[in-house]
Amino acid sequence: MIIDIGYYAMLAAFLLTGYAIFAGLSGIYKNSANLIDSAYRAHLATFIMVLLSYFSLSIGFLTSDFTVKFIANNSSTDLPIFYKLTAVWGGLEGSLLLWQLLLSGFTAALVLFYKKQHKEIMPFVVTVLSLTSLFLLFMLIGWSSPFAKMLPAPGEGRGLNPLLQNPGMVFHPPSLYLGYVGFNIPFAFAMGSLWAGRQSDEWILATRRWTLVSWFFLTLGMILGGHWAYVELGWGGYWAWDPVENASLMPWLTGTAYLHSVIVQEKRNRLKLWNVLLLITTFTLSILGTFITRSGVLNSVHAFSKSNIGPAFLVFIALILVLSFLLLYLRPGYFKDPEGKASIMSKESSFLLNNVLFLGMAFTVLYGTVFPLLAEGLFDKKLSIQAPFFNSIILPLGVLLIFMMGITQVLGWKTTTNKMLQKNLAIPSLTTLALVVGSMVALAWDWQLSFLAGMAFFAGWVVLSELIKSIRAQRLHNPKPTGFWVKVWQDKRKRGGLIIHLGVVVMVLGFCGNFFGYEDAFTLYPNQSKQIRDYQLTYKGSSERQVLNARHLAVDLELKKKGVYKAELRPAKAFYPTRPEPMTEVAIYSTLISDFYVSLASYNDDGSATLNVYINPMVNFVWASLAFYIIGTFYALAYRPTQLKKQEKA
Amino acid sequence: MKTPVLFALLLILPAALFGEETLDQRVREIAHQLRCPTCQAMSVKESEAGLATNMKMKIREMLREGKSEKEILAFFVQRYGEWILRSPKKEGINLLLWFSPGILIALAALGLFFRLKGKNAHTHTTDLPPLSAQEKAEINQALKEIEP
Amino acid sequence: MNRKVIALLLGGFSLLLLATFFYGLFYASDPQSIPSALIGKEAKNFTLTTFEGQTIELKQFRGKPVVLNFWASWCVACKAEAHIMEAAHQKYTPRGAVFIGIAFNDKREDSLAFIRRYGKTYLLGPDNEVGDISLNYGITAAPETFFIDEQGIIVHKVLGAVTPEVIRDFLEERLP
Repeated sequence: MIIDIGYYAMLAAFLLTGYAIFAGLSGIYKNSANLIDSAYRAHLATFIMVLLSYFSLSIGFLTSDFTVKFIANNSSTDLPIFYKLTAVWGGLEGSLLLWQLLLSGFTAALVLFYKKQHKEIMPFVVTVLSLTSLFLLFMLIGWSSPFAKMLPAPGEGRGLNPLLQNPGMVFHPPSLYLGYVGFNIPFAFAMGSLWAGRQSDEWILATRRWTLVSWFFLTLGMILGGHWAYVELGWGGYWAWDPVENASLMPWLTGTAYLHSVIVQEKRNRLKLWNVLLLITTFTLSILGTFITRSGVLNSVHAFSKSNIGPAFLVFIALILVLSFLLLYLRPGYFKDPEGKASIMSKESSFLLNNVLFLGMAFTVLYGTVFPLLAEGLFDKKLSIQAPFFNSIILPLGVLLIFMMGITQVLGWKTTTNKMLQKNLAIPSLTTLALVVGSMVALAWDWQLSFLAGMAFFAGWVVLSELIKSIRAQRLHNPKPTGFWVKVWQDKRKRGGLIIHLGVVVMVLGFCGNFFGYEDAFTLYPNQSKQIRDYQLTYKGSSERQVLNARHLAVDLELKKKGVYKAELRPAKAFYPTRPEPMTEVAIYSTLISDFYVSLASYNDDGSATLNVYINPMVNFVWASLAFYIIGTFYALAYRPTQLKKQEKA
Repeated sequence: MKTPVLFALLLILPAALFGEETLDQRVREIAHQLRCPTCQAMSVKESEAGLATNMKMKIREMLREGKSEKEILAFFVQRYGEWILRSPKKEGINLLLWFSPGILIALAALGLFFRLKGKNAHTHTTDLPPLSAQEKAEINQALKEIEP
Repeated sequence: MNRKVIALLLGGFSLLLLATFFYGLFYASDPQSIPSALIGKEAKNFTLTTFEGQTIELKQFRGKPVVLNFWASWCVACKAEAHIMEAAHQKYTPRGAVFIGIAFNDKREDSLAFIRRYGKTYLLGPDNEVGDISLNYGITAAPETFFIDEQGIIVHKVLGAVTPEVIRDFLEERLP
């Protein structure tokens, strides 16, 4: 009953969106404000309908309505309530619904808050957005509907995949979708204003915050995903270059490139075509990500059930590309950059180079991901392309990128004097060179490690000194004593960027920790001990207990470091009533400097336990970088461009 | 001047680094390069599937017999095809895979360099180029807005 | 750059990408399946001690078509094909075919229980602990069945449970 309401609400949303597009288009071409207002109202109504349908599906999950196929496949009565609510996006159909909910929510927000301010372009922008809505709703009502019935209904559901019963996985998909939908908005603005034939750059300022927030959520989503893999998959790492991970990395790379290059347009009115292309790419890649992960075209660890969405998504991707390029082609005059000079030693140039590197990385990831298809199609060869390949190409590019990140901080717009460069970079670069060479010679570090750590050091130095400068400069210009918070809350745009870049440095240091990692696998009998570096691990015994809906068979290990008791570790096999195979539950003793990570490979019949042990130095730096991204994004968001203030006054 | 020294070091280092590896480590290193046929997203090293365990035992046995890494990888490639390697060999059409990203990036960077250089070879001075009258006016205008 | 050049580059790249995915969706082989590198090559010789204590060698069957099956008691598809293999053995062994089953990664008592339960009677023996024979044949999962002709060449391989038709097609043309 409630599910039927959800289905019909979805159908209504589809029809309303169709109407909104129709009314919007007629309004635009007949120049009728009434029709456009009607389209706006249809968008608001769409949002309400989608929300209703989302609620009805949630209620279906709460009441374990197994007549619905999607619920029967992704839930069970013993599932904790929290996971019942989040199981809504535990499968393809529900996550499409979540995506659509966010998209129509954002569309409604744009209609409510922007329709006066950007009166001329809004009808176009909203129409561009609703094309994606129409596609998703089309998928949701027929092609892959979460409301499809299953008769006769099973007595018990198949349960949510235990791998997904983890807080990291619960918030990872919504966060990624927020990022994807978020990048849809600058895309829609760019396309909308092109379509409207507006020469001005108003869309860039209007979408500055959307871009930042979307970038943040994409980043958050990837960090959550990595953390989930770390604690849930049990192989001691957080990034495996799996097609699913690659799919989320690609839009992040191009989105980050855009985040930088759009500043050049905002400040120097350049790179117009380039920025629009980056938006098209980012948006396409976010759709492509779903295609790659859900169509079964490439295999993957996540082993989502193959679905039939592939062809529909491929057609949609083709449509996006054709329509966007057509629009670009028909508006050639809009991309003329002003004549002018920028030296190689300028921020513009360094941003361009940074874009080359980001795009190069994105290309490598895409190319490596699809190359097995090319090899099979063109050369009849079946290849595997996994982590070792990606690491060996991406790592050098990353080293270059971090080096650029340091340099860029001290470059000025247009040009930079040699004097300035010497003053700001001479000491850090010489020290870095000494460190890189020294670490390779004296400490016999791997060259990759030396370069990565060296560049992180270099960039960290430059970024920190710029941050200190920003704080000092303010004291100079503002000699009269002000409150502490006033001082902190100054120069927000610059500091925001610097703090985020500092986060990147922290994250890279975390990556460097990989080179010092240790791993071992061994079997222990009760009361037996094993020395691993400074640690001593003793097998005390085994225990069984109930954790939420799973029965854990755990081995109890005592961890000592240099003879001092540190922790009781209980890696386990978790048995879920709905799954035949047990899941691996890892145990981690975590300190800021290093993680001691144990997973139970097998609990043997003779009472012994086979363990996989990893020591992961500095892995927590990777997670800690998130704090910098949060604070930095807040700073950058708080900044209002002067042009925008001017606009608002006028 | 420094570069040759650096390169020499790069060549010597791996030998110095991996001189005292244990058998376990060598098994892991080789297993890391092989894709697990059962759970295909993982390497043989990470996988706990039965077959992966067998493969690890086989690698260990072959190492004990004095086989080199190259021979062991070749053994598996001969039986499972090139599919088993997680990172394709740098030969034949695979060169397309290995080198096109690098070449593209290098071309893009070169293109960028010449474009920027060609546009303004003469602005490479040690001092800032003087501001045009229009730019000065813009700056004054902006300054007025910030500090009324 | 000229606008036509840009359009051409972008369009070409997009088209290439779409074509690749189109091929991947409709024409490419299953990404999970692994092609065998051994088809058309000579089957590697092995010595097997059967559960009944008899020692056999693949070489000794040269001149006869061989159906070589890798199985395990823990594998589900092996149960599905157990009767098919046994029935084929009953039918074709008298006519000169050879059926060999190698238990891979299995406990001896489990294998024996499986044999009793499904009444398997052809040449059955365990692989060693390392799985030398299985790895030598590039086994990816159980069950896997190799079809070896009279000259000792592997002509065909089946992943997963075999069907009576595959065995018939292979043997009928080779047996009197």
